[in-house]
Amino acid sequence: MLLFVVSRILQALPVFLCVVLVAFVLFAFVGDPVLIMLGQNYTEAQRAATAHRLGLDQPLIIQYCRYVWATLHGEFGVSYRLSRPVAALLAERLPATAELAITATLLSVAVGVPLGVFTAVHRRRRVAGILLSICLVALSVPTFLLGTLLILVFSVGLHWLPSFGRGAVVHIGWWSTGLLTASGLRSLVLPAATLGLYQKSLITRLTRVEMLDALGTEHIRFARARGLPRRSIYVTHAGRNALVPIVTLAALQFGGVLAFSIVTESVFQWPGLGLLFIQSLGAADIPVLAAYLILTAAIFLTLNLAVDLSSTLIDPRLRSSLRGFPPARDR
Amino acid sequence: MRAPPPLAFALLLLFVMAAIGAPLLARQNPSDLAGLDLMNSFIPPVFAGGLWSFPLGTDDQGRDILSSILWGTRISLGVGCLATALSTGIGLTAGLAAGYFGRVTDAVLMRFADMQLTFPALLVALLVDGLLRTALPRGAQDATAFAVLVFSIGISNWPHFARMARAAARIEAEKEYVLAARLVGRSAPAILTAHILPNLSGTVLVLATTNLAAAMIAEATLSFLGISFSPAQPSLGTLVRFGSAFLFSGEWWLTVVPGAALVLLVWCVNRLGDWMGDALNPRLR
Repeated sequence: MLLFVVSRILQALPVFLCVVLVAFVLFAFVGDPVLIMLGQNYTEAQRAATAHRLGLDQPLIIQYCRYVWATLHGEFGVSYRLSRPVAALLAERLPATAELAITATLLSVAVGVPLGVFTAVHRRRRVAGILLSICLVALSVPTFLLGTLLILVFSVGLHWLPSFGRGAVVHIGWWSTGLLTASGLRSLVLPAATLGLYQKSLITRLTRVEMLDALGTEHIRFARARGLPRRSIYVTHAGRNALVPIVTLAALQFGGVLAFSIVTESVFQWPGLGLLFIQSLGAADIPVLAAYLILTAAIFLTLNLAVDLSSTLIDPRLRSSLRGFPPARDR
Repeated sequence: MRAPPPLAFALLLLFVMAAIGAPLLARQNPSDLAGLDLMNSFIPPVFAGGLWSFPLGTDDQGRDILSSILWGTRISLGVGCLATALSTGIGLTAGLAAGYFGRVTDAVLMRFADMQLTFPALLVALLVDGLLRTALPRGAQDATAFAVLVFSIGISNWPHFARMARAAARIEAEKEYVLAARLVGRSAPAILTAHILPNLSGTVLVLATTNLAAAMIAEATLSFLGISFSPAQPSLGTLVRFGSAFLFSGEWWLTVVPGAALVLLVWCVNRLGDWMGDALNPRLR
């Protein structure tokens, strides 16, 4: 098991270093930090001094090594736009995005999996067909449009829920949470629903396919012949076999949730990482963009690793493959 | 093989015809300011008590929304199709080469695809789009907006095609007809394009259709976020963006009507993609 973990980490490492390289290339070749820091009036000596202070007169390979070193220590430089350390900015924005993304993912699993099981079990009923059609429509609604329409109905029309911001937050150490106040929870409803709907539809469709596969197998037919209660057939016998791909999808979609949180956060003016990313993109604030890229890659690679480990824990059949190939993740 | 879903098929045909015929069908050209009359601004759609001369209502400048949608469909479908073509082209070339030649080619190309897959496609598109826009001179932005959109969306989706093509090429490369073609001395590019590629056409078509829907959503999203801001050529996403400014003042149709058109268009493509996937799936035959 330990060997497996180590080999997976070693496989992820080059990918991570490449991502850092991309971030570094952005840093080194898009815009000139010296000119940005010095403004309009400067002498050649000042320019050289600043370049020397920033280490920009060194060979690129040394600059890259220093960049990797700084990244590993959590130092991402100073934002051009806000003149504040990027690491502090990210730490400030992280809780908002984490709470939104996790709520949306939990919501999508909580709704999507039962719906998928239902449509598979009752596949000949008309309700199942209607539910699936609704899912396909939901997959065709862009996130930004859904958010806008929800605002139109629930904020502008019915005045039930706030249309922007995060409500009141409580600070626990450096983490700020909106989950403990009424206004915070009310503000979370629309963004989380917006972000979760697409994932929910994906999960429903995948759960349905996996359940159909599982229901067609011999051991389910045998369980039926034995006269086991239907509930236990569906949940214990078929559901367990369908679980691995669902967990994998839900976890890997978390990357997609992060990307679409950019959209959701700009629709709802949610003060998270996504909004920071969009604002930085508009201002060509390279240090923030580079740090965001590295952070996203780190989260994704960690999730990948966690998925590989958890699927071997869930499905004993995959354990025999530990020594050989990593388990298949792509479907 | 089952017949295509009639509603989605007919609607998509309608959208394509609208996109091609927009200059003839639309009563106004939305980018032609001379054709606008401010007296006609904020007329609601017919079903909400408007006028038959503007069936889907007008915006703040008195633009006919139906005309804007016809022109917007042109941009949305155009960007979607070209971006998909770009992803397909890059992905198939890289994937076939990686699967057929193996070794170093395979390792380099697929590591590259893996690295890009670390990021969600939308993030890549946003980033490429934003950086290109910073790099281009200010004056050239309107003229290049279309090409920049196509490039950034196209480049963000190629790894899926590459993975599929690589897996297929590896399987096909072992088969006897490929060996036979090699024995008679056909070159690698000829074998790949003339012998292996036709065997993938069904899978490619399904993937490209799904990708078209995703590309159109990506285009609308980029336009909505205002990064591909081009007031002269509004796509459906840009129309929703303009409309959402009037969300709180009661002119809901500026958001809802173009939004509905966009959802309908994407739905048609998704529905057809589902149908094709089912039709080509051997388990469901």
